[in-house]
Amino acid sequence: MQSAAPAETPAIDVQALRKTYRDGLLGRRRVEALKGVTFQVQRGEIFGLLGPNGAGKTTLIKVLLGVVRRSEGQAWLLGRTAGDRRGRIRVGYLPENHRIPRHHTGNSALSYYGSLSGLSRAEIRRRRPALLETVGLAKWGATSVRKYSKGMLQRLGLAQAMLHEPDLLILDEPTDGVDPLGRSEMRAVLQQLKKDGKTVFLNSHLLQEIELVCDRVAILNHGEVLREGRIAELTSRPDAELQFLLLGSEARIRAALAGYDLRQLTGTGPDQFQVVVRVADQAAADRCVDDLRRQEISIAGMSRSRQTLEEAFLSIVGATPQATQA
Amino acid sequence: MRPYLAIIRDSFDEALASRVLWILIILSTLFLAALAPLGVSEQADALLRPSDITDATALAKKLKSRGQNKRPSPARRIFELAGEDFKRTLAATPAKSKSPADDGALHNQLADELNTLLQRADLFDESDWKSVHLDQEAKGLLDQGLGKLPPERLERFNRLALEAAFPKEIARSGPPRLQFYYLAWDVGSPMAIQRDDLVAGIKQALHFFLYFVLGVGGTLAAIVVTAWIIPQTFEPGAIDLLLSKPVSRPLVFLTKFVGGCAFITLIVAWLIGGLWLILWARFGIWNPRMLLCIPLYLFLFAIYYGVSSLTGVIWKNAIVSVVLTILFWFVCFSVGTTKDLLETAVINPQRIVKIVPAGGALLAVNESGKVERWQATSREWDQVMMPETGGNRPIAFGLFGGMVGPVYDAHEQRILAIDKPLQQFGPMNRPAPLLIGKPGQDWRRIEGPAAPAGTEVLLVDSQGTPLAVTPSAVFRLKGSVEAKPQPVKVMGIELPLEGDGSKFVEASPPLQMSTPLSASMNAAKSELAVFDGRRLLLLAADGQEKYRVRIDTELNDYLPGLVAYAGQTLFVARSDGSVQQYDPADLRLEHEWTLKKNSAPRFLAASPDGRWVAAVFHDGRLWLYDTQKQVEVSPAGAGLHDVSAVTLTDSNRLLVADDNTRVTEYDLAAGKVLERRQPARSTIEALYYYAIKPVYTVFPKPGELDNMVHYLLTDETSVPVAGKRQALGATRVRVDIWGPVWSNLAFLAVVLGIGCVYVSRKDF
Repeated sequence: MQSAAPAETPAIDVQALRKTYRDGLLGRRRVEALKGVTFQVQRGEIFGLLGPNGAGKTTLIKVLLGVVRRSEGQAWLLGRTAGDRRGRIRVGYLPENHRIPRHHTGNSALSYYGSLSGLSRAEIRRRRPALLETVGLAKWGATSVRKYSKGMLQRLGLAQAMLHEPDLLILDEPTDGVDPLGRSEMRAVLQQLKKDGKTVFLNSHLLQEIELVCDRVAILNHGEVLREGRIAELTSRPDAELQFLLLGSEARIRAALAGYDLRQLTGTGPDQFQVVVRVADQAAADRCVDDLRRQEISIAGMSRSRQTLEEAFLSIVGATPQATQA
Repeated sequence: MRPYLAIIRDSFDEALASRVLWILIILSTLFLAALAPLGVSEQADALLRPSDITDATALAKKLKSRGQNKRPSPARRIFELAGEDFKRTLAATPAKSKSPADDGALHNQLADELNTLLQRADLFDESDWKSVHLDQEAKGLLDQGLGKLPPERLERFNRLALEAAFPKEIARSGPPRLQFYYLAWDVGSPMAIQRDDLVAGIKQALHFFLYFVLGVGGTLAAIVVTAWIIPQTFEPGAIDLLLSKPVSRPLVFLTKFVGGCAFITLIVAWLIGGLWLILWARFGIWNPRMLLCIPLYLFLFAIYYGVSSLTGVIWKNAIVSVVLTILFWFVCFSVGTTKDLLETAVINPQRIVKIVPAGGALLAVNESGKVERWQATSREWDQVMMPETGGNRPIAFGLFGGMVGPVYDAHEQRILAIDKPLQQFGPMNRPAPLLIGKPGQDWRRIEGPAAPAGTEVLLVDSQGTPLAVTPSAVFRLKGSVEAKPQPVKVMGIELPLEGDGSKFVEASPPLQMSTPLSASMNAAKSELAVFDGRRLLLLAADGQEKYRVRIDTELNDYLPGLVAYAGQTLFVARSDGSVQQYDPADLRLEHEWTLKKNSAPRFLAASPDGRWVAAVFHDGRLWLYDTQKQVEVSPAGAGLHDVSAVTLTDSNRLLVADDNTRVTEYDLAAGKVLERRQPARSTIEALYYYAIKPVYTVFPKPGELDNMVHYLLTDETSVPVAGKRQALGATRVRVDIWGPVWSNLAFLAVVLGIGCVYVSRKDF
């Protein structure tokens, strides 16, 4: 793929990306941070990258931005090769634990980073008030960043990432140090960005945040993408438990479910039972319903149990060898 | 470009937000404010005191007799302007004073009357004062225009003119004294130093201040306060934010480096600019080139800051950065100091600064004042004419006056020299004896009669008679050169007395020249050329053991110089690097070469027939001119470098000393090398030439940027080690001005280049 940037290209396209660090006195020890990572982020979606500490999430972001050089594979950002300076013009980045020089105020920091992004001072002055309002720092623009709390610094970091109205925002732990109210406000900002057609690439430990705002996620562990997809796809389980509210005699019910993994059978009224059956897959679930109906048992209610994203994450990450919990 | 300008602008903002900057600026401001009230005023004797008239009767007699004469003279002018009472006083003055009381009254009357005249702008009339030689101070005042001078300066000029006109009757007043003051208070007593010396002293002090305070202390302080800039920029959280923007890594590094320099620019510009203004406003020293010290010190800082930046970007730690930068400074200092020590103690003292072909032998004088003889068999220089004590002469640290000569007396086959003794204090200064060395006595040192005080040049005429040229007159030796003075002890103090009737006697009219002066003997014509920087005299032998002034001409400007006179060739080389050719018949300027600005000549020699003229400059360059073909000539055979002495012999042969101890002999007519005399290097010399010097050459030399500061402040390309600053023949240390600039520039480029490559390839 060339460096041209047609509009239909994915916002982020990563193909078999590898990064190996050299460590030790003479650089003889090799540490593989990324082991052939492949995924895509489409334009206009909010994409979450999940993974325990040391999974390679920040390395991946740094490779995309050109802060770290890739060892093998390819990556493109808005259609341009990762690291290409022109590709970064339309990208806003909020690093984890960022440091804004202490001699700045909120206003001067935005002027500085805006100028680095190529904006004129007039344009920065025009955009700055509304942006500070958006991130909740309207009254703090003239205040030295020395007096900012961690959460305020995060908000200012988000503001500088949004200042030049980028097409793609890469946010590394954006809610780190932000209070619950602030997180809620930040979620609203992300939703607004999505409405505006922006692409957001989110890296966070907070799975609930991801679950609330992301369209799709990828789970990275030990430098490998374990799963990638929509939230619903990750949280649904093919071997789920089926919950029934059945109307019929207990004997018939037990007869119909004789070949199944019956987990629970509780009477809730005359010939009315709450039943939980564990099935291996969808075909088994269908057969279970057929068997109940053949015994002329009425199915008054039926539901399939789902996992939370956290359960899914732990399940996926825990299944891999040498897992490191987040 | 906008992102990089933003980084530089941000560095300025960062600097302005720094308390360290404001503390340094406040300290600098306090220093300048404390210095600003310091000033200097000039106090010069103008009006005559009665005691200034040393011989009132003789003065009155001269004024009366010459005043009434129609011939133009200062006395005539004074008599013309004098009032009738004064004229009556002069008329009534007896030929001899009758009593001390009468004599005292005459002193008072003369002083009063002359003081009245000293206030008149028309006292000095060029036609009447034509025969009077004014000194430098008077000439300087005259150049300003007498009509424009304030009253006290006019009185000073008239006093000086009066002194010059009646040198035996009126005592010379001291030079103008300078009084330092602070606000309205005088600081100390007036100092009897000339304004030029004061300016030179202030420049030296300023140089010292800039070197130690700004160059050493300021630079180290600046390194400490700026060491955090680069590590802070490249630490995690800051650099990835910066690199996520569409910027180039090397340019981020370079603009941050420039930003750090901007921090220091503010302080340096404030301090040097303030000093410059004070020098101009308070001391009248107008030296715009001093402002060039601002970029120069910035460059000095940039060299250290380059190292600090490179280490800062690699280790991302300000303390490591400071420690390594100071270590770098120490290594540079050690290499430079080792080289300087070896040069001062071993290399420079051996440098040949005078070549004396003495019949079949070749003698040379090295910078430590030792006379050496070339031993062809062992191929080495061995010392001759050693003091009787057998001790070596001390290395020139400025205490002794230097050697006059030696010159070879072909007639008597001997060399003659005057070895000025260590400077002694008090009235019983033992005069320097004439030294004689003869080949028959293995060039053993023989002491002869005392040389005249103030001898600047020693010459030998065609009959082997030594001539000593002093600012007051030319002296010739009457009697034998080997007549030793017999000292007599009076109360334990040794008084020199002449022995055997041999002594130097005046052989010319009073010359009234200034020092330093240069003289050259044209043996074929029995004529002497003497030059003191302004006056050029030709003295011709009158056949009665005396020399008369044949031509006395004055050049337009004062510039110390050297003169060479042989055959029909008369050349003058001056301290501004120019060489002038004069016609010996009338001292008309025939030709002038501007060879190298501000490179002073060290030696000027002409071949006995006058065909060849050779000059050696303090920057180690040789200039050779063929007057017959009127072309500049380059001696045959390559490899001449750092030339330190030259001489031309009877047989049109050129002897050049270079490479410290090597003497090469050329046949100028044939254009070929006849012989090279070079001793083998000692171990320590080999260490210097093959280890220390190469290392020093490739190593950066931040400390030597001081050479450029010295040049900017003083305009000198070399500095004297000892003796008078204007004495051209004195040992001077050549100042390498541009070498350190290019060397440091190359080093800075390499360091920043490595930094850029590192930053480009580094995973942050």
